[in-house]
Amino acid sequence: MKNVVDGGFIDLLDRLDLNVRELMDGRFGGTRRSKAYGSSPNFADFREYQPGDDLRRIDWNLYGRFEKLYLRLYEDERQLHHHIYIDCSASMDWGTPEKSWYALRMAVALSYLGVSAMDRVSVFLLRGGECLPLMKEERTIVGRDAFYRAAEAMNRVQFSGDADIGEAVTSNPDKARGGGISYIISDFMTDSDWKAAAEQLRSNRRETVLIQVLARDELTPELSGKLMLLDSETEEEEDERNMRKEMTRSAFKAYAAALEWHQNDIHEFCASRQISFITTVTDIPIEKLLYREAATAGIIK
Amino acid sequence: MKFLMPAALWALLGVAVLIIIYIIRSRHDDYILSSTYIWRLSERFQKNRLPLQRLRQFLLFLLQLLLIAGIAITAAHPAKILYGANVSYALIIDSSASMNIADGMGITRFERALVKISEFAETLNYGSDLSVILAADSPSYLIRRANSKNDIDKALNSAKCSMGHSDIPAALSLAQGLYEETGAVSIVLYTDTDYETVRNIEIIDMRDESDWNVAITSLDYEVAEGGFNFFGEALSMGLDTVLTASLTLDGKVIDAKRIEFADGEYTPFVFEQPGLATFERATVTLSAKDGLAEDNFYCVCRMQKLPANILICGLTPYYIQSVFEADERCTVTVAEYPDADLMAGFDFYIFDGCLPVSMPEDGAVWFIDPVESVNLDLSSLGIILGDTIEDELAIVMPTDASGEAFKVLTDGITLTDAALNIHKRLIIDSTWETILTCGEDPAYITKRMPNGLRISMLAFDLHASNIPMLSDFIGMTQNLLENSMPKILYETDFELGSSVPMSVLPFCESFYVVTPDEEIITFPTDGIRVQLKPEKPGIYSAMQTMYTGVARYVDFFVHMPVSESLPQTGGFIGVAMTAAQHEAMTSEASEGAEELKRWFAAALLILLLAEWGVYYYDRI
Repeated sequence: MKNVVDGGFIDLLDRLDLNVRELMDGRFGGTRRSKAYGSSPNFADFREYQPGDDLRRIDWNLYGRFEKLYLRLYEDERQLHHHIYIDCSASMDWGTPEKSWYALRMAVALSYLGVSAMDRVSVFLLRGGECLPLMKEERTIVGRDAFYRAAEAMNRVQFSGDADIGEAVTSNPDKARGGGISYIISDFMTDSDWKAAAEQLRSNRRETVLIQVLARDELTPELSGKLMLLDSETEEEEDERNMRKEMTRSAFKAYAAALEWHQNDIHEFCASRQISFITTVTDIPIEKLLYREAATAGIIK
Repeated sequence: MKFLMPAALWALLGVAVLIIIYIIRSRHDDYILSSTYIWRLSERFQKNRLPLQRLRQFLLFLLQLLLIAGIAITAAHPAKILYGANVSYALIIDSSASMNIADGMGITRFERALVKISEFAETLNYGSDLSVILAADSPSYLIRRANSKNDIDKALNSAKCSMGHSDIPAALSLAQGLYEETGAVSIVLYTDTDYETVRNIEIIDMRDESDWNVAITSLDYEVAEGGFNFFGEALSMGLDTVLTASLTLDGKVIDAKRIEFADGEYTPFVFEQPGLATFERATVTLSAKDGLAEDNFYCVCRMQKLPANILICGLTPYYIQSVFEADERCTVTVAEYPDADLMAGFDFYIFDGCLPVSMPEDGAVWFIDPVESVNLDLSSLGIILGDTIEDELAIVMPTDASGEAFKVLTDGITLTDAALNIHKRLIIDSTWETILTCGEDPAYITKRMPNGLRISMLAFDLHASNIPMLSDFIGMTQNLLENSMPKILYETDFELGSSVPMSVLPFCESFYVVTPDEEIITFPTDGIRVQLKPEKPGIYSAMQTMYTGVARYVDFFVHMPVSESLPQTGGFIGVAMTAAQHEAMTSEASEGAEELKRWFAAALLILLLAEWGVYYYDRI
């Protein structure tokens, strides 16, 4: 596999930032606006003076007008903790270029943007029903050094078997409630309950983004004849996911209808739960995705 | 059914091959996809499939199976086994005019015959063939040795009945020819004629009980009481009846009368027209809705005397001049000498005591008292002038004369006490016909030139004869004038089936005949005589235009053969085939086979189209 990180790509990312739409609690330290009042230069509100308050924050202009003491409050800047979940099933290792490579590049981009904003980033690999950290010894990426180590680790990620997104995400012990964005990168062409995963992330007050990566031949398959369609995530031919199919005009029409229905289903689900959703095809350059589709969707600014 | 090439049925093994191919092809090739999720989901969207979509594969297999079987069977030349008598039939249709007589329903005998033949063709056995002979004036095959009902019907549809006679013996000769060719022929004659004796021919009588026909069988006229009487005979066959007969003169109905008819008896009729000065055409018509309309009228066309432009050259032409000037239709020009510039533009040239420099070409010539002249060598006309005989001799008609010219030029002439004092002895060749003689010498000779113009010669001076004083002189000159110039027609009543001989007048520039159907038949003008073979009864007009612009026309009537209007009987008809031969022929059964290849080929084509349709249906 090609190296998921290169200098040009990082230079590109330096001009971007993750867009956090909601004000979150986060941890102390960092650069993200939060709901708490702190010592940032950004004005937030006024409050009546109470004994013990710092006298330097009293707004004397207001005292002149109202003859009451008011204190100027400032926003606090916090550090967020972003989670990136990568679907590592065999179906992701498909397409030209492979969906897996595209997903990893996306994860790298998001990680870099996170650590660049002084946030903490955790990358999880979804494999079977498990949610595995990218690096066991360093579960959280903080700072650029850690990022480069994580990027190195991403070059070694294997995509095989199946992945139960629902079970894997919900079983992740690192809930990181209220403090960041959770990204799920997958093709979402799965029987697993990915909706449960997304709902749980939302219930943990995390901003959630679903990124769907598809290969071109999944949108417009070019098949002919009578075929035994084998799912790449199955091991045995008798698996119920495998099927016999004759490629006819009506079969392709039905495929197009099913695909449209599936995409609409994801859109409607995300819209009803204020979950951001973008879909991309691997033959679209990732730079275009980041600058255009992701920016339009409000994921990146 | 049997197969003419059964070896081709081995191709049926292709069915087994097809089944094997289907078994092999029924395997689905493995194809790995990233995920079958959407494909599985698509099953829900493909549920409402048409029955054809579900059965497509089976239908395709079935059609291909049938195609292979069909190809094998077609290649084996399938044929239907047929049994029957191997007979050649010669069906003769009498197409004489009487076969046009229609029954009460308006169907003619001829049409009934065609229907019967068509029905007969439907029952034609395998191996048999059928020939239809149309027995008209000149019998001919309508169709020869055919066994396809379609072909026979097509030929029958083109058959037309004539309005003339039929030559049944000639038609039988054609049938006899078939017998000699095939060795066996069964002859059937569809006719309305009764034959006394028939041998080896089956007669189908096409008459019907409801047949009824009236006909005018003759019409003529006579001059009477300062006018004309028109008389003739009519006949009704199959009915006693009373009908109205009308007389039409030159297109106007002049008279009508009721005529009582007794079935099968001739009924005379007369139309008296005492005050009638002249007429060109007189037609008598019977108002009857009978079986045949073409014999319900008869017409007489009167030959018109034509105007004549006459040149008389001579120093003393008084007798001749006075005779022709007394005739209103003659325009007379008199000249003392036959100048060359006068030798054209006249119908009749008379040279009295002189000869022209050259013979005129556009008119008849009459020499009177010829003299030796350097102008014209008479020997080129076959005449040598002899001595002048001065002797009183009687002018008489030769007792042994019977030529055509003699009859017309002496018509109505008795020539009693005619005599002369001086005449020239003539030595003539055999092309000349002598009309009158004096002593042993010819006194009046004539001959017709190849262009139809007559040259005549009187070998004596009229002044030295008493002929101009005789009343016969006028008749003689009139006869000569009437018969010197050729006529388009010499009679005006013809029977259908006969030819109408017509003369082409000298210097004629156009010549055409208008038929009763207003059709125009054009004839060449470079000949002397032409023949017209009318195909329909009625009044025809022959018209010729001269180079001078003068038009000459004559009407003539072509009537249906009278015999065709009467009940017809014949004597013996037969062919030289023995009854034993005929019996043997019709009982000889044969087996045959009708090839069904084209039907199978058509079915194959349909199957192929269906297979293509199913194959490409729902295909990517």
